[in-house]
Amino acid sequence: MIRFSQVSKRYPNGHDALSDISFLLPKGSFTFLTGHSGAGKSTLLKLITLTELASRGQVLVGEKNLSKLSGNKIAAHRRTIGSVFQDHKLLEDRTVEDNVALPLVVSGVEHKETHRRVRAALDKVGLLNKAKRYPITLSGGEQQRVGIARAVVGRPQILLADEPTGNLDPTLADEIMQLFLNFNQIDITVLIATHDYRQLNRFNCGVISLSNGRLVNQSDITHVAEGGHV
Amino acid sequence: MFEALKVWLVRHLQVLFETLGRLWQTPVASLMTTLVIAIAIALPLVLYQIVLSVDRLSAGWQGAPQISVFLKIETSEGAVDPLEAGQTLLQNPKVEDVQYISPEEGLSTFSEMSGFQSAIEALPENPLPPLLVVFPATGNDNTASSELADQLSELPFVDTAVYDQQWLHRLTAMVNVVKRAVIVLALLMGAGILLVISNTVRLGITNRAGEIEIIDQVGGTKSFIRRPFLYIGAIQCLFGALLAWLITSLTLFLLVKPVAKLAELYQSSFVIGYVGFAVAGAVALSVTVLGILAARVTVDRYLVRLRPS
Ligand SMILES: Nc1ncnc2c1ncn2[C@@H]1O[C@H](COP(=O)(O)OP(=O)(O)O)[C@@H](O)[C@H]1O
Ligand SMILES: [Mg+2]
Repeated sequence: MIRFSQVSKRYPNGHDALSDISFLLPKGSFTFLTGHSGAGKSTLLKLITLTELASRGQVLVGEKNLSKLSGNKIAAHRRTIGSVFQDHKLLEDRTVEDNVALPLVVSGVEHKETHRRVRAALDKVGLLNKAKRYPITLSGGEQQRVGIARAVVGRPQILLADEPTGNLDPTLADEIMQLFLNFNQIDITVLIATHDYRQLNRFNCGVISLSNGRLVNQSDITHVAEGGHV
Repeated sequence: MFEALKVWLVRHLQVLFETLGRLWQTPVASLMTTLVIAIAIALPLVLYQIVLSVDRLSAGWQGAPQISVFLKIETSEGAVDPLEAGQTLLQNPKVEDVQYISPEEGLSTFSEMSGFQSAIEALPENPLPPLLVVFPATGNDNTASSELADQLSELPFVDTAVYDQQWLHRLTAMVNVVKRAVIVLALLMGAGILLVISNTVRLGITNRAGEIEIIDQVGGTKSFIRRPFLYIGAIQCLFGALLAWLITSLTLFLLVKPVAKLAELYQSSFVIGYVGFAVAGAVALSVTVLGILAARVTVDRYLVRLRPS
């Protein structure tokens, strides 16, 4: 569960990226976060991962009030979230499997178990045969799938994606979206930032729309797993 | 519990080997850093070892202070009897013992030691005065011994009285100056090591900024991010200390022979010792700890930026 209560974010330069945002995402929900470029989508996701702190209001994730976390508690909080970035953020000097293993390595998961879970995650995104390759030798869509495998390998309760299909052609974008839907079916709360309106119409799910940092529309949030999709 | 310990240990070994691998990937830069650290350690260490040797030597000498009392051949009251003069000196409570060295004895010892036998044999007469060697009862008290020498030279039958250890006095004072210099040098070099490690770590952070950002995003703790950099500090300092030990030993080895030759010329048993394992170990340990601290401070200053604001 993610709850925003009257959240505002002002950057140090005085820019108000978010103003008075309130919403509730139930556990296991699948939601799109939309809005023009600069609307505040990335900022909203950063508040959830505690990359940025809210200037006003409260962000609750599960039972945790994020403004109360500090030090290793922040790190522990991030381990319950899987993040996917538009530019993948993969390490070029490490193999695909080493990239995917990173969240488990920082959690101190034992070596054999790490190996097993990395293979399972790569299998889910269909890249088991490319485990030993370096990211640079993969296509854009494949690199994004590696990013997704890394986001889910730690079995997070929440999956956040910041324009994960931004650089992909429509067919690849649909494949990636289908992956997120699959993960939603195992009761992960999914929040995807996108300005690809095509996706919104294709998938029957909740939508949060931002414009200039304000909430303009919040449609019904439903469980895609229950409501059917595509 | 045991499982957690194992994971922790494996993780540390992993980081250790990763760091060694990373240092190996840039051999020239790593070797330069290690060399700079080694030289910074070796310089004060060599000086320390020399001072230690001189100190040990002068401490050995200080055991037997003596005053050389040269007698007049005769006074207004007639010829001086050296043995009688010795008895007079012994009555002074500050005098522990007196030893008589006749001019003949003195001359033969001198010609033996100096190698001027033929020249001395050519002398028409013995130029040496009779000598009484006085051992003061005041022991190692330099001031008291100097005062006693002054007092003795006032006696009518005494030509001059010389406290032999005056020069040792000066040597000790000089050694103390050099000792102070070694400490200052060691501190300066320590500061140099701090800067070198700090610089190396900062460079490492810059090269791995992307990796640090991702580790931070996926929930790596600060200590997890810090660890490889602490290992860089520790490894470079440890290798630097080992190399410094080699450099120091080599330098001292090169000094041992010429110093022995020099000492022989002065009839001295002066020898330079090598740096012992205990000292080398203590230096290596403290420098390694210093390296870890320097790395930690540097990383922490960077990590502040990762905190959400
Ligand atoms: N670190 C920052 N400092 C100052 N302004 C920022 C910062 N990050 C984003 N902004 C501004 O905040 C607004 C929202 O940005 P962002 O959340 O990235 O929007 P979106 O992801 O919807 O494109 C933009 O106007 C952007 O310029
Ligand atoms: Mg954005």
